[in-house]
Amino acid sequence: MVKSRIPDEAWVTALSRVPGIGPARLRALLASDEPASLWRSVCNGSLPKELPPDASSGGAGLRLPQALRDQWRFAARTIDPEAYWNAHVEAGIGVMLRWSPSFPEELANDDDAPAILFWLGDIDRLAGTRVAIVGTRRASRYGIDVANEFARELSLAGVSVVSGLALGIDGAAHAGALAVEGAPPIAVVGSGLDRVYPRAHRSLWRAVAERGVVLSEYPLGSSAVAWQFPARNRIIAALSDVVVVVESQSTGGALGTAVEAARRGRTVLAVPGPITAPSSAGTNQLLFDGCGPVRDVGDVLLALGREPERRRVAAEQRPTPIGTAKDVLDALPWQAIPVEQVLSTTGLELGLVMLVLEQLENDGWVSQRSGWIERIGRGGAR
Amino acid sequence: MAHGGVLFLDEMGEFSAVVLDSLRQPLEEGVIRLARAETRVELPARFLLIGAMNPCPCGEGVVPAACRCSDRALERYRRRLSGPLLDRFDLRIDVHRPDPRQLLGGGPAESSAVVADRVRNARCRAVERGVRCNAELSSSALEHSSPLETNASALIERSLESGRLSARGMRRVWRVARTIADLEGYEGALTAEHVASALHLRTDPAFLVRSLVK
Repeated sequence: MVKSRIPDEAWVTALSRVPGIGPARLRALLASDEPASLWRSVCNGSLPKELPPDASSGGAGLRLPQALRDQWRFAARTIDPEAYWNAHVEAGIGVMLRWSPSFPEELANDDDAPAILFWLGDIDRLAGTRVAIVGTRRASRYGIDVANEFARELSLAGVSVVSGLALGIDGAAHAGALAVEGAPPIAVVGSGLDRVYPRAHRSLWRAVAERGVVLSEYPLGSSAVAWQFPARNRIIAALSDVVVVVESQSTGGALGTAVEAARRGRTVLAVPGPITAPSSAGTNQLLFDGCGPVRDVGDVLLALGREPERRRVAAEQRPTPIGTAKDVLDALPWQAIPVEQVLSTTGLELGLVMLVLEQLENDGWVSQRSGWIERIGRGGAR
Repeated sequence: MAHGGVLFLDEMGEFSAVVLDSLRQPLEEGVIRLARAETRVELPARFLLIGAMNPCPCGEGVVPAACRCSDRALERYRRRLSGPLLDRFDLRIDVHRPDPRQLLGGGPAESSAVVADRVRNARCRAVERGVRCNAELSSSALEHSSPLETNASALIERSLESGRLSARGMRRVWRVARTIADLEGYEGALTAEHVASALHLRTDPAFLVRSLVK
């Protein structure tokens, strides 16, 4: 056949573009036949009604109802495997199948392994020790600062930071890893590598690809669909030796990553937060459930079996607030509150409080966002 | 229709971007120009625009970290309320859920009559400057009638430099600071406190505040 001019990777790439062929079905399909012949079966509707069970599907065979096979057949007609493959080659996308000898071992042996991986950057940069830093998209200043600091110090210690390039904690972690000359950062995303999401992280995405590697199990053109983000989290979990959840509400994707990591026997650590802060409800729950607490990056290194350099708590560099500034700072709890609450607690006038807060912000004691004030702990300011 | 009165848009975030944007011209010029076939009409439209909206589509975003909106939903909200339109509001106030203790036990509030008196006095001061309200003060009239103390202009400069304030926003903050001083019955150059209060009354809505990560 003429079509065999293109490699196996090209047929699997085309298969992975068919809506409805997710990671699990793709794995089961590939266990049953050669990629090129599978593609022909999908296109002419000659797939069997049921695929035999294989090792990775845990005993049950994969049923393929007529409607599903029809749906695939119609979708496949819009895909030209050869042109689609060339688009990947031209875009400089790396592609690797699960059975390739250089496929990351932790992923290849995973129960829920991706059948194919796409990447931007250098796949060899996966080689070192890896720690995931994950958390909520709606992060507090505290969470952002902690994620950023941990990522910097882990990178400097030669540990690659794995995260999802999402808003909030993920982005802060990658920004921290890129801020130093350290281990290469690793990102796992939930869309095709040409679909930058969120768009606000366009330059961060590019920087990770330049200095590290951006991985995806979705081919070019796949948009960011909601279910693909939890699916992406399992790859983050599988790739990481330790998962650190920095900040999470009581529900959220980061908790999903923690569950996926625990299921795979990875160490899950959580950063404690105020018990009154909704942004730390999930991480505090993880601690209650038995995850190890993280006080500083030394605790993470210890979990990796390394000898941590115990850091002395840095001497306070910030100018000590006096007078009204001290009164205002003392009135702030360790979670964000609206300015109006500062007024009612201190009994001071708005204008004065705003002036004092501006000074405290300049000195690195507080952070202001959209009318909310949050206190900053040691070493938070940059 | 709202000429000389108040135009109140409830759930402003649910209006289409086109409708909202069509308000910009009358807000700037105080007239509405209608062109129908051969006729062109100009209608006076000097009005007070008030808009109310949830901080984000799910409505929980009043508390940071409580918001459950997807990034896409927030992006849609942002697109609808263009920066230039929001910039034209003099006051942008975050309304928080009241503390139940305050509702039950809080001290006696000021009576509306007292507040009305204060507003009337402030309006009289504006009239003495030759306008109905301070929002109508021209730039030169503002500079002439309301000099800033050194600290106050330094604060404005800092806000401009940090990007918190646009050039248009700067005049607006200045006029609001003037009004705050008028409400206090304060004469003399505007202080940093006046400007700081005015700045707080121009809060960036939560849905506009982007990621903390640069």
